[in-house]
Amino acid sequence: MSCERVFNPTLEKKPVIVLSNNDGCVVSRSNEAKALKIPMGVPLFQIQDIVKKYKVQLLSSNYALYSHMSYRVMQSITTFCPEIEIYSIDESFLDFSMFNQAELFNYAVNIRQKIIQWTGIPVCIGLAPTKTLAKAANFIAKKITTGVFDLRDVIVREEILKKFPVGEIWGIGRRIESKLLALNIITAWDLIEYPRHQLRKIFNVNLERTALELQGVSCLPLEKSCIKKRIQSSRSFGRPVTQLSELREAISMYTNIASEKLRKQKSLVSTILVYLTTSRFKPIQEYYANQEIIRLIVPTNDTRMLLHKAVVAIEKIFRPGYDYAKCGVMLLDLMPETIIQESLFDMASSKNKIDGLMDTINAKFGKKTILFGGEGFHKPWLARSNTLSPRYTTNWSELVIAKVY
Amino acid sequence: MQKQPLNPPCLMPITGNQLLYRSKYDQIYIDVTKVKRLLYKPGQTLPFYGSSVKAGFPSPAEDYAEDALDLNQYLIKHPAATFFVRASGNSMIGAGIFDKDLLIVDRSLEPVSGKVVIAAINGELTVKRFQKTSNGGLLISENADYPPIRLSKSDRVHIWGVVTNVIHNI
Repeated sequence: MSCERVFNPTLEKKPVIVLSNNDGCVVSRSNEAKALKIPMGVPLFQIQDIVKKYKVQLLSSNYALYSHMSYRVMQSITTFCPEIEIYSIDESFLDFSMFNQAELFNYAVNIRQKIIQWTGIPVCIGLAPTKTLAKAANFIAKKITTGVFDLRDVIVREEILKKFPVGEIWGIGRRIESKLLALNIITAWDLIEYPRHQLRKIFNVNLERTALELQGVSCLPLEKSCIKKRIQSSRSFGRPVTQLSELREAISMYTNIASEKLRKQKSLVSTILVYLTTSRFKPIQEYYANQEIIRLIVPTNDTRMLLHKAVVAIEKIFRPGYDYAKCGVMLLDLMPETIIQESLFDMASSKNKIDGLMDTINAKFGKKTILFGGEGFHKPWLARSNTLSPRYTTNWSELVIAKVY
Repeated sequence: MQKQPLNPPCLMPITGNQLLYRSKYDQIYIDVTKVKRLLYKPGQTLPFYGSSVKAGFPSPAEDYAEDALDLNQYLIKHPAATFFVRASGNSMIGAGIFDKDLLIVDRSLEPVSGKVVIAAINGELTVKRFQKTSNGGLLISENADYPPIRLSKSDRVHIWGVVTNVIHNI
């Protein structure tokens, strides 16, 4: 939402929603859209009447724009604090332990003001001695105008945690929340007061860690490595897919994307998971979902090998007669390139030069300049985004226009 | 003279652009802007050597090897805050801005009187000249048909960024 508003100020103070891939579900709402009681994640077809009545503006997800703006925000933050863990596209943890603690609140206010000025994106900052508390402080910061909230003081913390609902704590999802409420643990303070060894027994060690973090004991260090432990690639289809040939094309495309990411982070994969599914919203007799796990003897990053395995897998789990809505591939059990243990029975394959060459060509001339034939050219099954905003920061022909007068 | 170890080793910000690095026996001031420039890619080129490095007498030219000229370095001082905007219209030909020119806009700069800025007026991005006044600022149009517009505290009229360069294709 913020990214779109930077380049299109007419979206300000209006109900606007951003839709997921294939314009399926709501993934972001402006405050005005939230006021119309449009819930997060709801499929578009369920709120069509609200959209028409209140003239809610629709936008397709513009991932090129969002990821690039996120990069700008993270880069800007780095100038204020070198110790940063980028947690997600719009969140990061900063380690301020080496800074002057008394001045930290004002420093945080300054950071927020500068980021808004430089990138146009409003960020909120929560200050606390542990990650879990910082997330809680951030939750509060989002609701106040200063945009910064400080939970470092023990007395302030006690007052806040006694009113903080347990379901909003980082790491506590619906299921754990309902179990906690059943035990009469309603606020974060209740969780702290509950005997810790019991928490570990009834739930798991992670919840115990959360309780410790809420008390101010830091259990989660800053993780600076951005090497993913698994790589996923999948999309919903633009229209239901019934033919195996189209599924083969789609899985080839997703496998190609995933293996590019794999090579970029210099990893090898040894387990591949391929899955397909029909639409969630169909009646039960038309629902079918399945997955296939392939374990490789030798970890690899060779696209041809991965494509071959993925296509074999999708052929195995395909059943004719269903309308498939989505398929995807996950690369699991990743390990760094430097660890290669070839099995006795595997013939040493010739050094894979083709992938490196393709990556270089695609990097220089643009994504998808050169592809493996298995992907198909026309791809009629690809999702369409009808209301995509221009890629303001990544495409020369889609720059924002300023009128000269 | 034995230096007393300073403790602990740490890095502290002193002013906006300087860090104080303290190691066990020494401390130095690091100018962050110089370090930042090295971190910025792409377009960044590394010094190249005119001759291949063989054993033997090194070429004196190597000491003077410099980075190739890089337009990114010349045009973009603050990459995270710099955006490209397409100009549309003919009213600022006098200022050197033609229709369809590429404007390089830096959001980190403070607007100064006389500078060309991008301003958001009622939701639309426009190109205007800025003039500082006692109560905020004024946006002047180079076209006589359009009156000056006052900057307002509300979001209807505000500065989006300062134009630093115009790229015009001849």
